[in-house]
Amino acid sequence: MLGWLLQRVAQALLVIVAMSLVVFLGMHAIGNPADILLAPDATQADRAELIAQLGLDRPLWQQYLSFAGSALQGDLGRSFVYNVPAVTLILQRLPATLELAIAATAFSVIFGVPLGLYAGLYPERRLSKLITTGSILGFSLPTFWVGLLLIMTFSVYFGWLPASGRGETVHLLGADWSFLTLNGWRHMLLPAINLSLFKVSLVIRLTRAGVREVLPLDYVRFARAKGLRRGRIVMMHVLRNIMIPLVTVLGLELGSTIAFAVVTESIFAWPGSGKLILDSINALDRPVVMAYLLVVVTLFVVINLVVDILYRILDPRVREEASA
Amino acid sequence: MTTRLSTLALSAALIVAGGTAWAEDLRIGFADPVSAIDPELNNYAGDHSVAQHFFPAIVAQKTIGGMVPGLAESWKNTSPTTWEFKIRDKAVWTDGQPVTADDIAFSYQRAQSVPGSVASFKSFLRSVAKVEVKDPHTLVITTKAPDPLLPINLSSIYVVSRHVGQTATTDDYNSGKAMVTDGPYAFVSYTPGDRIEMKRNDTYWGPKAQWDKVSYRYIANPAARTAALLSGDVDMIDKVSFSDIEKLEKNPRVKVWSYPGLRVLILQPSFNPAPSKFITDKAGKPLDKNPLLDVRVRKALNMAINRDAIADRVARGGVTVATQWMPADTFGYNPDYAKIAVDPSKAKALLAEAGYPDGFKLTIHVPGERYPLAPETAQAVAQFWTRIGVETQVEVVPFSVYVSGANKNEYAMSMIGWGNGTGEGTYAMTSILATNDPAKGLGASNWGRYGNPKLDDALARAGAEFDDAKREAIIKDAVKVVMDDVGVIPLYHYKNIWASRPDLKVVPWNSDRTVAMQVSKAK
Repeated sequence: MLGWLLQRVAQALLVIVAMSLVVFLGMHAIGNPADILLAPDATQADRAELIAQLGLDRPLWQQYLSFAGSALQGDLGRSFVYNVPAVTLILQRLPATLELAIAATAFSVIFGVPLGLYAGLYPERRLSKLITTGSILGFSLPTFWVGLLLIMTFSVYFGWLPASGRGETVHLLGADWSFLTLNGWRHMLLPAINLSLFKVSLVIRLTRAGVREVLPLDYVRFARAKGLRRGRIVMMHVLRNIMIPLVTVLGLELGSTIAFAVVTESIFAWPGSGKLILDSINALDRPVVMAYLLVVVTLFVVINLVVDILYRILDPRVREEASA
Repeated sequence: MTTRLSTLALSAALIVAGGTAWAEDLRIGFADPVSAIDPELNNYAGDHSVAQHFFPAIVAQKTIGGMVPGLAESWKNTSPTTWEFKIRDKAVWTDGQPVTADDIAFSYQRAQSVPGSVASFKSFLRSVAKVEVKDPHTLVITTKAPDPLLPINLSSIYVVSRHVGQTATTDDYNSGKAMVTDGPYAFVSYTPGDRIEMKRNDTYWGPKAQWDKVSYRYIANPAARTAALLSGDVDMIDKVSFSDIEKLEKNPRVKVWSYPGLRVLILQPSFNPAPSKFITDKAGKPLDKNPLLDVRVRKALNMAINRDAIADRVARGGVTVATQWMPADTFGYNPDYAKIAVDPSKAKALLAEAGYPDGFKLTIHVPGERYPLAPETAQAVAQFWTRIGVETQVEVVPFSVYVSGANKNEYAMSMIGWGNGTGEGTYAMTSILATNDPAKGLGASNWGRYGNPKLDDALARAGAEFDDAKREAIIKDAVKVVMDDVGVIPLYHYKNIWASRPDLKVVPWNSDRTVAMQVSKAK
């Protein structure tokens, strides 16, 4: 187990180094941050001064080495635009995105699994067909448009839920969270639904396909022949066996939602990290982009780790393989 | 996408508003990003708007009323290079200390040396040689050369206190620790990337603020701003999307406030003599000589554009036609150049006369998101030019990529949006029209590298002329020089457009700044 973990960490480090190089070169190729950061009336001398101040006048390899050097000491630099440490900036915004992504993923499990299960167990019923057809909408409607539709319906037309912002937050573990207040939930509901729509559909599809595949298998028929209750067969034998692909996909989805929830965040003016990274790329705010990608890579690695551990819990075969 | 929203907005128009606000609270949804609450860190639009609530400048420049007293109740020239400002007795900081001339002297020094600043305020203090505190209520400023624009420049520098500011960092302002203020509103909290909360400052020296509490929320996406207003999340929004204007105007639950603005959108033809891959013959081979160097070609391009059609159909009334860099009724506008006649056949004749009877091929470069409607406008211009034989392509690139190329004069035709923030003509002359001269700091954003000694001379004379009438005459002459040359091709001025609940009144404040002070309850 330990060796496996170390291998994983080594892999992650390699990914991080490669990524940092690619991003560093990429940002450099796009343009000079000084041109964007300066006020429009700045003179040529101001420009030269700023370039020197940001260290952009040095050769690229020097810039990279000094970045890598301070990064190893835990210093990822200060944002050019906001003049605060890049990591602080990201950690300020990340909780907002994190709770949104987790809520969306939770929705997808809460709604997706039962609906998919139903559609898989009773494929001929009309409701099942409705569920399956409905999930196509979830795949195909653009998030941007659905977001506006949600706002127009629930905020403007009915006036039930707020259209923008994060609402009240509670300070806990060094960050502000809105899932701890009712007002926060009211603000989170629409963006979370918007983000979860695609995922709900995905989970419905996966669950349904899994159930259809597993039901005719021998062990299910055997369990039925043994006279087990239907509920027990579904929960213990069917659901458990289709969980593995589901966990894999959900893990990947959670990661990509955290990293790239930017469309939903901008429609709902949700102050998360997606908006931050987009602004930072546009402003060529290199320290923030680098720090953000480091955080995201780390997150992906952690999520993958959790997924692997879940495999072990869910599937005895993987457990045995590992211990063997 | 915003069009779809508008359609929905219209259908929602008949429905009664969702939430209602507390009577005395105001919630604003604004578009410009804020980099910090520290008022002297970065010279950015969003930062300016926020600072005006907390840290009044020594004088203020208002859209209605021009230059008005700020912390200084009066000022005078004791010689062409010396200015004396009388500071108000009544001004106090929120911690009870009086605001003195020394605070102002400190602020001017800090504005030039805030660590981490990337868009420094020091350009506003370029002409200042010395700042002296004669007594706690008298400030004496000496300039290097006569500078009639000093008060206008000082109106953009916000005054912080010495006793707090001396040891405060940008982080201290952001966290609120250093937010000892003296403006109409006092600081409550700041959530980066989200909102600023403020409350009325009862010790403010000026007229009492209208609102008990103000919530100033960052909503970057234009469709989201409209939605936030329609759903009652906010009471007022700025920079209303052009595609939403018409629908919102028909909506009885919303009032649209549209005022002529200063920001101009300009095309800059390249004066680079070297062959460019963006100016070619019809077969795609770069031309030996840049046709844009010929004034007849520039005139042809200028008169081929139907600006009224662009204002009407592309911008849907959100802009006013521009024939020079300043809008009508401003300091330096030349009424002799109020119209550019649209004449495609004359344009064709001019092209033939210049030796291009069949025209040529040209590429316009436009930044994608920096200036509203810029890509659409460029497309329209391209069609007008193609009609006279100049086959025009539009290349839309992200601003980060665009600006590097523009700075190097790589494009045949670049586009710039210029704020004209000082409200008078010399600001644009200094940065985008003067001959590019790094040593003098002139023409830094003159991306086409237009140059005319007459313009440079006018700029130098205007900069030293204290008599307003004479100075205006010089600027008007400069308009003649540039527009006879077609040194740049102005397209339109953006209107400043706010939308609010119907029971509010919004008046322009200073250019396109959005502040709580411009909003009152409609009588």
